[in-house]
Amino acid sequence: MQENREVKLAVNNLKISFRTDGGNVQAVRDISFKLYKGETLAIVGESGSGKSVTTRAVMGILAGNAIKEGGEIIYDGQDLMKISEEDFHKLRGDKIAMIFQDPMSSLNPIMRVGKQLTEAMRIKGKNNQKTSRRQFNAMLAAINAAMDEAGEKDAASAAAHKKMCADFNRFEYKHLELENAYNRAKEAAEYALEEIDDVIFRLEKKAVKGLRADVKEVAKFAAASVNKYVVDEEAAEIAELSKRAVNLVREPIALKAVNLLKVLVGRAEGDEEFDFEAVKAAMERIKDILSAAVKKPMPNFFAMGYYVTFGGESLPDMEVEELNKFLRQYLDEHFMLAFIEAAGKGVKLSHERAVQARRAAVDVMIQKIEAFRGEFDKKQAAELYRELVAAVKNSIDKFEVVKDNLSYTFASSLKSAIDQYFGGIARNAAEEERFARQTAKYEKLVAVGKKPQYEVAERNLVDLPMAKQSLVNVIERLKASYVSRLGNDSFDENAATIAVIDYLKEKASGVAHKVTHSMAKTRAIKLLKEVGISEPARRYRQYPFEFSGGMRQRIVIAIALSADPDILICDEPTTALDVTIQSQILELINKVKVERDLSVIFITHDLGVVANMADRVAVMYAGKIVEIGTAEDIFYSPAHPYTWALLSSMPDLETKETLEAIPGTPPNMIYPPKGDAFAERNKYAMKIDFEQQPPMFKITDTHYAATWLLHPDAPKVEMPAVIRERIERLRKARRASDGR
Amino acid sequence: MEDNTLLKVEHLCQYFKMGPGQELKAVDDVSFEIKKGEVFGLVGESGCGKTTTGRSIIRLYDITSGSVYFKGQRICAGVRSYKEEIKRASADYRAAVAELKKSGEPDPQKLEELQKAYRQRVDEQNDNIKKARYDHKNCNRLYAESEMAKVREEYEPLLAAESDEVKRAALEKDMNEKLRLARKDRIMNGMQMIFQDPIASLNPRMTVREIIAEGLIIRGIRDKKYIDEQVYRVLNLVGLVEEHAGRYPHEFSGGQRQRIGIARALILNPDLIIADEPVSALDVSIQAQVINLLNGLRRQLGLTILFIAHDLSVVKYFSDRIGVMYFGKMVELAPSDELFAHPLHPYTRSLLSAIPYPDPEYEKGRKRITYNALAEHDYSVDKPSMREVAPGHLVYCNQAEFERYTASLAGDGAQ
Repeated sequence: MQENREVKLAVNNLKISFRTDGGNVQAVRDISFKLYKGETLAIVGESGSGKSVTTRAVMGILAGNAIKEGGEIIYDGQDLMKISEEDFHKLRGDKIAMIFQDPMSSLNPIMRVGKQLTEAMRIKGKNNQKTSRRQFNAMLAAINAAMDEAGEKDAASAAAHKKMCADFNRFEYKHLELENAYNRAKEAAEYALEEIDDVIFRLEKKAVKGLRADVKEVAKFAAASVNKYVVDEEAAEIAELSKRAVNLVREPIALKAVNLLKVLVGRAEGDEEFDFEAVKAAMERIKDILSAAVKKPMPNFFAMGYYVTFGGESLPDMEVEELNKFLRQYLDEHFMLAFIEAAGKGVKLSHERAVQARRAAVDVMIQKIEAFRGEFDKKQAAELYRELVAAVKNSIDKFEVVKDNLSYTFASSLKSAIDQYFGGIARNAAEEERFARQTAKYEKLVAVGKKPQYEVAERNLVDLPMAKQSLVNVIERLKASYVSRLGNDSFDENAATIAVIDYLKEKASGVAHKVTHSMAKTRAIKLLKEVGISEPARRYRQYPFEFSGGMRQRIVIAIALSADPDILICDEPTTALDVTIQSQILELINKVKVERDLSVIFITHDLGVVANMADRVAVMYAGKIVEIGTAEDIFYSPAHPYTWALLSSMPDLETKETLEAIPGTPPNMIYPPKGDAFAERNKYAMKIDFEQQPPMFKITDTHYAATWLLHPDAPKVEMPAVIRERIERLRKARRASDGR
Repeated sequence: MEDNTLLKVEHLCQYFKMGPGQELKAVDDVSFEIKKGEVFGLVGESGCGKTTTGRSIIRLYDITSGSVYFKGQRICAGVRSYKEEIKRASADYRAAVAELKKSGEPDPQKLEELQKAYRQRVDEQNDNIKKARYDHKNCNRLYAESEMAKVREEYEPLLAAESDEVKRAALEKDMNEKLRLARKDRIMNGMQMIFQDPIASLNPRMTVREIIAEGLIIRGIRDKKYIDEQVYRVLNLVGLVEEHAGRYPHEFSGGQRQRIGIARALILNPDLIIADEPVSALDVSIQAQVINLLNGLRRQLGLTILFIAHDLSVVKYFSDRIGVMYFGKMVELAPSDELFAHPLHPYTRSLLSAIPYPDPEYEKGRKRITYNALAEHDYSVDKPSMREVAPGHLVYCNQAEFERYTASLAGDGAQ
């Protein structure tokens, strides 16, 4: 069933090592896995097993001394091992976000939390404005050109086209002003509603502390929600009510002073009570008004923009639904139908051209693949590269709204693949030379009769055929995508045109949508609230050191979520936290995962956490995946001795006897052991474990493990009694709780 | 005080100043006892004051109020509660006088009586304050003096009986050496701490030998050979070998570093060890090694441990009794099996419901209980305090809740 799901991220034969003084540490040795959409993959292992390195490679944030020895990380059709840093900027944080283990070191200690949260929003907002303006202008100009080309090429129609595009530009901005005002009001109303619930709860509980600030906050947002289409007639009432409420809650403080004075003067009688009920009544009335307001339908601002700009008159006084119908009709009659017709022709023409160019590109690619399969030198490679890139560039359709990343990043990934191949040739030569030199020296010593105390380190060569293959793969992948798209070419002219217009609308809103300081603040406070930080408005102004560990981690999560990513990588996010906070954070991650259909890679060494979070689990040891399967596979029928050891070394609530600790330490990865890396610490190790690395044995469709124990010739070894008993016990407990 | 009580904490309060007029009540009125040979677990979420409690007991902070008794002697004492009592007395006195004056000219005799009672109350508290300050300042000196007295008691009859001049001189020398050591002895030597982060808690410029022996040297021992012997002894105890003594902390793995921290705590043969999250920062496989080590040591040396941690499965595995803390208050205290079988306080329940199990199917259906102090309790009229619901099982609750808890326990027992 899993095969049908969309693969978000595929890692194939990844190999990474680190250059150190002592030699190259092989941190990740040939691992492959897939991450499906909307699932959580947990990677489990001891520190130093290469789990963090793998995810850092996905993020493109490997340390400077890292060597990418080979393999691919495919995301959205691109190989992340090969794309350029500029291309990575568009992914990192935006599409792939990461939560680190230590929240203190991922926050800036001398910046207020609020600023750190809003910084990215504001910079991104500013950038968005610039790029949106550029893209909008480019697209409009392209449409204008395509219209001219497709239509009759006389001066009159060209002028008409030009006017149409200019008109589009004008009313588009008008409508955005209206819409932005509406959105701000509606957002304020929604926020006020959330706050009101909290305030009412506290009024019921008679908790006075901080009440005034909150009531003021509600009043502020309630006042901000006044708009023609949100809160209109009740505006005066809301103002009146909030004023009264704020005045009322001023009293507790005044009352306290009066009571204190009485005590001091010696005339203490019963304390005077504060009128909770009156404030509550006011709050509930505001709540009623606002909840009615947010349910109102939204007017069609796009059409309204046209009417306001070119209709000349003030808007007719109608109900929203009626108004929408009227505006829509007006827009269609005066502008939209004509525009769609003209633009449609242009889009169609451009598409036909692109299809032809794509066919040509496929032919070019087939040729070049052959050329790359054979022998070639640097100069020839550069020539081939130039021709390929030109053909692919030509085949990009300007009006394709859903960008085909594969063809956009083709040039940069091909370039880096070629560079890697030639780099490999140079490195291999150097390595061969070193090996020859050292061997000669070694043999010379032996010949003189000395017994050298060292061994010459093995040659660490780049796999050239594989490098070449990965180079060819870059072209093959694009070719395959082109061929499949040429095969089922269903072009809907109308839909494509509408998509282009929507694109223009979106870009225009990007230009007009200015992320102001106060907007960013509101959004940041909302995010803080979403991740469960109480009193967000006060917390917003604090520094990271004023937060406890769990709170800091929540802020880091809020920052990671602020960009709305596709893939979330969590590198031991709860290791430093205690159980309650841990379960809250896990719940939070699970919640956003479901809400936003995120794919999550979750790194941890705590198996209890894994059971909670993971759909599938990969167990890593010494840079290799030793067992991978669904969470049920790993917990109910583990197969690898390392998984057994991990499971039996953790205490649970019923454990009474001594824990089974894993003896020894992980191997030195500068000289990785020849056979199974876990053999030395494994009490079930056989002779072959020290000699040969076990391949991945398939247990079920979803469950694989790399241990010789699964070989048909191996002696039958049961999993340790501790684990079996625990599984049995948990099963019983589960049944008991189900029965209840 | 009973004989087998090693540590007794009474109404411990530790407040921190947070700016003008503001205080953070990190630990607020916490009381418990630890018996000899017992492991007492302290759990709670971060920021609930469990680490502060540990640090206050070992006198890393000067406590605000309450007292701590170790081996029967008061080692920490705060004066805030006494001062407040004085304030209350003055307020009462003033109110009473005002009451008298209301009904015309007061009776001078009654006034005098009132004043006398008031004076007595204030004097009593002032006495308490004086005593507390004296104990807090002088507990180590008093202990050293008592140790010195013991040495003298031991040697004086021997000296008196000895007639040989040479042997007498040797004995005197012996006694002087012992007296010197006794003078340097501190009651706090009997209490040692293991810290959470094994990297941060070891000085990177000192060798393992220097780190471990530092306590002995401060204690006043000059015999190099004896020091080496002791260092090797504790190194063996924690599963390291003698060669490790000459190395520096960075040459060790995380688990080994934590072992060094434990060795350092053991070298003075302490009675009580305060282990502040000793395994939280370690990898799973190493965690198991360190827990096994601590467990072995506890059996071998009969150690008493105050075990502070947030991992409930580890605490359950390791402790005899457990105290649950929430926002500076102890909310529940019970033997560990009892606590896990019958958690009473809603916070304990929510804490237990957050423990992750290595069982995916259970985890998927798990419901976490959330705890909201405002919503759970109504303490506006009926004030809460620690009450004993069952023998050895204390819960922080008010009368209504107490009755409910007792009933629920009885119901559970009947089933």
